[in-house]
Amino acid sequence: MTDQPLRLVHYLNQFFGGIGGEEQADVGVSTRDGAVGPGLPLQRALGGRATVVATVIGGDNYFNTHLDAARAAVVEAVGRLKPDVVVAGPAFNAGRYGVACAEACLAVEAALDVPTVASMYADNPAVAIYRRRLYITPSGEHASSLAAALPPLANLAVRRGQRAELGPAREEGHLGRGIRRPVFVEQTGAERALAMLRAKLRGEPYVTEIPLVDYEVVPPAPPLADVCAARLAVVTTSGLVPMGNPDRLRRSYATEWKKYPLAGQERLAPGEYEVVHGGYEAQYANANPNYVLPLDALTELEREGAYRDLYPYFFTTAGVGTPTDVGERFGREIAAELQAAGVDGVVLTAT
Amino acid sequence: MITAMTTFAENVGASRIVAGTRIQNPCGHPALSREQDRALRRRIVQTALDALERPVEGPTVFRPERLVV
Repeated sequence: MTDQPLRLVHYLNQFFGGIGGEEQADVGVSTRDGAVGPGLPLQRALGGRATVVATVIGGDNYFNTHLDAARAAVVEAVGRLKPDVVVAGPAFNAGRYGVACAEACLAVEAALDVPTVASMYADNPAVAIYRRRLYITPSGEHASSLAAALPPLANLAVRRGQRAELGPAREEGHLGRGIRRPVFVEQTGAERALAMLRAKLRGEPYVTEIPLVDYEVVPPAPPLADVCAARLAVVTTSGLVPMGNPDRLRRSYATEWKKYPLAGQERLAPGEYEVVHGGYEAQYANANPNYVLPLDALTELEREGAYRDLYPYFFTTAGVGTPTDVGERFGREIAAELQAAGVDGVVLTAT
Repeated sequence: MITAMTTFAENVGASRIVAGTRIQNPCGHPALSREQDRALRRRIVQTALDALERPVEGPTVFRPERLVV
C-alpha cells in the first residue's frame, strides 16, 4: 500500500469555482490546477492523505440543459488527470448544483471506474433522485455550513480513493444508499433490544438499528363544494391490470404506475383483469375485479347524478414494498394528469 | 381512500379514509349474496363520495353504515 497521497479531483459549480454568479451559470466545463474556493479548506481537511490536483468547474444551467455534453466534458477532463477519487460539492441545497454533482460523479464512475463522493444537504432534491446510486455525505443547507461538511466528505473521499471495503453508512458518514448487508454480531437481538430500552429509560443516548421513516404531514385537501358537479377518477394500489399484464407491471417494489382505459364499461368483467400484487390474496379480486375497482357502483351512482362523470381511465400500481419517495413521485405524476384532465376528486382503493 | 387498513392509513396521514370490507376485497364481500354484495359496494362508494364533501382537520375514518342482512 503506497504512502503517496491520493490524487483527488474536485468538481465545483461556476459560483464556488470563482467564475461568477447566476449570470455565469451557462458556462461550460473547464479545469483549473490545484484547489479552488472550498477546495482549499477541503485540502486542509484531507491533510497529507490526498492532494487536490485539479478542480473541474461547470455551470449549473449548462450542466442541467446539456447533460450529455457536460458529462462527456467532465469525463474527458478527469480522464486526463487520472485521479484516485473525485469529490463533488458541497452543493448545499442548490438543486441544479446537486444534480450536476451527482451526474458528474455518475459519469466518472461509469466511464473511468474512478470512485466518487458528493456532498449536499439531505433535502437537496438531487438526494431523492440519486441517493441509491452514489455516496453522498451531508452538508448544511447554506454555504455557511461549509466547514462542518468537509470532514465527513474528506474522510469518505480517502476511504473511497483507497477502495476500502466500506462499513455501514452511519459509520462512514454518508446519507446511505438504502442497501442492507447482513453481518454477524456478538449479542442476540433480544440482548441488544434490552440494552437499547435500558438506555432509553435512563435517558442515555442510544442508536436505533432501524431508522423509521418520518412521514410528511400532508394537509387535507379542501372538501368538494358539490360532489354532484364533480368529475371523479379512480386510482388503485391493488395491482389491478388488464389480463395478461401487457405492460409487465411489477408485483412488488413498484417502479412505475400505469393508466388503462375504462372504455365505457359499466363494470369490470372477471377474466378481463387480473391482480399483480405480491402482498395480498388475489383470488377474490381476480374473481370480481369490482372488489378493488368498484366500477359497477360508480357507474350506478353516476347515472343517478351522485357525481358528474368519471374520468375514463384508471391509474394502477402494486402498493407493496414501495419506498415512500417513490410513492410520492407516483402521486405527483398522477396528480398532474388528473389536474390537466379537470378531475376534482379521487376514489383511491388500497389493499 | 377506501381501505380495510384504516389504522395504518391514519398513521401515515391519509386525510379521508373509508373503512373497506377486507384487505383482499375492500369494496364488498364474496360471502354475501349478489344483491347484498352490490348493495354493500354501493354503500362504500357512497360513503367515499360523502367524504369528498366533508371538511376534515386530519386523518379521518368514515365507516359505511352496516347493512341489515
